[in-house]
Amino acid sequence: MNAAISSRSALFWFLQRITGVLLAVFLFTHVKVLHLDFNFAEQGLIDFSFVIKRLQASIGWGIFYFLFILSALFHGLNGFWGIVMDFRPEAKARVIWLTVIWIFGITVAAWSLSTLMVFYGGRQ
Amino acid sequence: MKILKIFKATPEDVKLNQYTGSWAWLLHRLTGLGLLFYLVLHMWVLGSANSGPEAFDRRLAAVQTPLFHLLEIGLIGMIFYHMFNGLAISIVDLFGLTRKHKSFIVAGACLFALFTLFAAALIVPRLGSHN
Repeated sequence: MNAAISSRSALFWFLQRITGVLLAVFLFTHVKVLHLDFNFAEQGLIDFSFVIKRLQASIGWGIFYFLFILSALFHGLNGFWGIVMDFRPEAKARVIWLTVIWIFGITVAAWSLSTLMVFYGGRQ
Repeated sequence: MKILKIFKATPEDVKLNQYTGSWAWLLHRLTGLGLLFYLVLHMWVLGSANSGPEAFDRRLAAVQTPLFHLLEIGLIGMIFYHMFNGLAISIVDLFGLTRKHKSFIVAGACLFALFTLFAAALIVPRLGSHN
């Protein structure tokens, strides 16, 4: 294993831990606001008007959710790559898997940003 | 046994490696895959906002039923298992506690059970409160 691959693996190992901790914080905040503090009996169902009002209260929520998605995508897809590597794929299969993972990650990140933009009046 | 061939393991290898760490490794991967699948489903539901408020409300209403809230207990269980086992792995890795890894895995599993039961106790009484 060359030094570049080794240091990249170490960085991804470290980022997997960092995003794991970040996800715990993001998730706790998300669950508290949308599940623990939300009373279905009094407030009815969560709908578009509730979400837009909540998000437009602060751009901070938009940044929060975009970072949440990026952390979840990195953590999930890097973990998925680890599972792929458990199967010891050939070099060609590794390139195919890596390409699929990157395309999937970029597509979901773009889709999430587009969804957030709807709530900030970017597109309606 | 095709799956074992892909892993280049034999049934004998599996029988011989039934350690706490092996089960934790398997559960961590299975819950991770489950959560990745959930993330995609969640984005599919929320992404309906791109088609307008009505589409968003329709899709969101479909998943705000007592059945889906009951299923959330399973989701929360997966999150807590993955989180506490991940925390155990990180502590063992970062502080060089490999020799104690089994205790950390067991502690993580206990915390998972405790927190999931607590979450279930919060969710179940609210199941009947939907409009």
